[in-house]
Amino acid sequence: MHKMFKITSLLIGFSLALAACAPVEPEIVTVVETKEVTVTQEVQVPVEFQMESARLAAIKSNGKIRCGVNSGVPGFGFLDASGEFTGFDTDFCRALAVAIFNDVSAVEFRPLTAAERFTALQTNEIDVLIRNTTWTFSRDVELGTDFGPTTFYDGQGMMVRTDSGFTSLSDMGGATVCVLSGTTTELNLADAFSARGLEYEPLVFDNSDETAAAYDEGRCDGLTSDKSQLAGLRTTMTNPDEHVILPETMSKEPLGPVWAHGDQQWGDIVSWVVNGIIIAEEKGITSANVAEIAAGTPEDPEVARLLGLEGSFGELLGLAPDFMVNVISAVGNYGEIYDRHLGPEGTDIPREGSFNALWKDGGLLYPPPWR
Amino acid sequence: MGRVETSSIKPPVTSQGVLGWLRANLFSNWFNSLLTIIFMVLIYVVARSVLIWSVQEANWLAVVDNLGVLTWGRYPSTEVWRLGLSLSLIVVMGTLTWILWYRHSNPRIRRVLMIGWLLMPFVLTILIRGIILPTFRTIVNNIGYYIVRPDVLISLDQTWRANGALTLAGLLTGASWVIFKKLRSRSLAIVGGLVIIALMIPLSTQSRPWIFGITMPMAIPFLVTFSLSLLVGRAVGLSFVNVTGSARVLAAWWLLSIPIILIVLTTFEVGNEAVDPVEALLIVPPNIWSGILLTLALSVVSIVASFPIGVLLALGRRSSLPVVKGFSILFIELVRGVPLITILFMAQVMLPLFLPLEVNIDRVLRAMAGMTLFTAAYLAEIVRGGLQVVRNEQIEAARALGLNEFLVTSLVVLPQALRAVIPPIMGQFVSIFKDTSLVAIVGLLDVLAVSESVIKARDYLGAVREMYLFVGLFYFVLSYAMSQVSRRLEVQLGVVEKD
Repeated sequence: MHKMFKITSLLIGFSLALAACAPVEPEIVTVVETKEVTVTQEVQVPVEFQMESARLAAIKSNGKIRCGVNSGVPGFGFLDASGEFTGFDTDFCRALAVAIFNDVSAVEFRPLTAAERFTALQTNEIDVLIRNTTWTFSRDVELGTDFGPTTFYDGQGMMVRTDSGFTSLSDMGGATVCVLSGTTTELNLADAFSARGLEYEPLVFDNSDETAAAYDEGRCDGLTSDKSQLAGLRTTMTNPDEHVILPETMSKEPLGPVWAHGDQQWGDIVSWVVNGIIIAEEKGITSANVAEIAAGTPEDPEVARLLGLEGSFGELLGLAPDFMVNVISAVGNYGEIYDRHLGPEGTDIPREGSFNALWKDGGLLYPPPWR
Repeated sequence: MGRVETSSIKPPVTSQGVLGWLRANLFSNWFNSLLTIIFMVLIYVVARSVLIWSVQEANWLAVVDNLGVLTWGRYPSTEVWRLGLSLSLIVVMGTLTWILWYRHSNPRIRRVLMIGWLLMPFVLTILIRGIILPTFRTIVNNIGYYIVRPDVLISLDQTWRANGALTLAGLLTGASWVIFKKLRSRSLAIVGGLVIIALMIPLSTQSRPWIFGITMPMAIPFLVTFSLSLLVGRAVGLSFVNVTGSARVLAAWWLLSIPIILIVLTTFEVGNEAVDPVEALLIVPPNIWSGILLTLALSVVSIVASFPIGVLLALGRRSSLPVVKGFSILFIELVRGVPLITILFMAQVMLPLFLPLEVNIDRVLRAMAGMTLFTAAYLAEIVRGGLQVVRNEQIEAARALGLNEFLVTSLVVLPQALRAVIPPIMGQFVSIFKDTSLVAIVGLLDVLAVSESVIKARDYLGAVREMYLFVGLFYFVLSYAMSQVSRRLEVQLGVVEKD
């Protein structure tokens, strides 16, 4: 016991000595100076309409962007065999991480259910929500959230067997349709058929896997769901080639990034990263050639502005001048992201002729000019 | 005519061998024979299609390729060895206990084992979650802030560390005052407490907005923290004052607390890489725990943490103090009145709406807290049933021996009460283990949610049945193991006769 106290007193004395010698340590002074420098930097900013977004500052000090995603939609967001989130939506999260940190792994994925996704935004649990969320009036106005540019134009579709002879919804009078219960899908289906003056028989399930299995077993003539989901479900059928998705779209589902109301500059960053990714495809800039284009002097002035060779667009957003170069070389342009996850290599949702083609090709992707 | 007609008596029906068993159990009369045949046909049809499916159609690659992600989920692949180490630690400790506990009733071996198990939660938490440790430079540098630049601590929002250190110092000083008999040891302990207080003097003069926006000097909360912990420490010390060896234990606590206080005080970053504390083990926050790791973490934490809370609530419900009794009844009935899924939804979706925006509690910790409280309420009622088994004579006899209320409860009542309710307690544990799959509904990736997510990859699309079979098998194996452990415990503690 005596020994114990000797050691105790020694240690106490030691900590006293520590405390005593601390103030003369030079590090302290250095640290304080660094802090002061950051303050002066903030004051020196001359441009009138540039103000550091509070959210961006928080993300920067956090070292990571927190992104709400879906963990169970083929092609859009799921865990791959190595435990990483993969998909179309998650790649936009990575694009934002690259824009801010030039680090594709500087993103913290938060898998969210449909019920809690807006709460997570409102309570500051995530910085941005990219989780196949449809842009609607009430969500935009009532919930205190803002929507960015649409990344994927989805809509409810109908899958039928090729040998059924159905080529459009109007042929489907009296058909049996498998549908998920309690969703807007069920209501849209009723609207679509009554608008055409047709009768149909719904077969309702409460689990999407069950719904698809029932259709595969031949218990109904058609399977309805969002087109993005139908494409994934088609590949699970016993014989995928025997099924076809009808051209009609029964509802509008513009999906895009969402953030909490109140930080305009953060919204601008999200919007313009998405826009930049689409413009890159429009201008033929890919992950393969972006370095080469950025090294030369592009003839197209918009390309020069996009890649930070002209103007100060990056600085205006509070990002690096060449942030789009980093984004494109890390995740690619819109077409590359689409092909990787939704193209023939992925869930195989045909892009040509759909809303998700570029405006030049008859689609709806029409990004505002980068000037 | 007295000759017995032997030839007319049939030989007895064989009751031995396969044939005998079949006849006795499956074909004893025409009705049972019919049932047997019908069920055999049914079993054949089902088994045949299951066999055909599992051999020809099933995509077992979906399970095999994803075994890793199913087990450790999103845990960084470079750090998975820490999970392996944790598992081997548990297995080694379990085996050692199994072998040594009953073979040698040597109290010293048992004490070592006990201490080992008590340390396990801390070791496992550090291993799995990771740890940040201050370097020598960090300690010197950051302690300097307490003395020279307390305003920096406030701007970095690190003042809670001072409260933490003061609490520990107050507890120890309070206990030392009553336990240490020698003047020298007593004054040494007091000096230890004074060092911490002295460190906090510059910080005490600083003001910061406190609750409800009231700004006050830090000295006030510090004073409250320190005096409260001093009182608690004194109360704890008083209850151990006559226990032999308590002074030595307290001295050990002092020794242990010095590194703890230093870690609490100095593990903050100031943005200078040269002096910032380093991640000795990469921090893997519970938020990204997933797969079997999350399922096990959730169930182990809620089982281990709910047990003491449940026992306390059961005792509280039988207490004669109206406030304690009222609180226990209110808590138990409130929690038992709502389904677990509601509690989980409250914790995941509602709770963040009530908390201030800056407070972000880890999602997995919220689920752990919800499940712990839920299990505790059910356990409390089970334990209360056990308490009613203990007859009043026992308590009176214990009191007659001069035991105080604490000792009567812990030495006489609880051992008998708990032994009587082992089966329902284990039943509750098995049930909470299976209930962890509910967290999938609130967006946490337990083994079930991971299995549903990985089959959304193109190569494994549609492998739902294979995954559900795998997850079902996982739950069955562990639940069955738990019920076997429960049966063994019952036998060893003599609740049921050995058969």
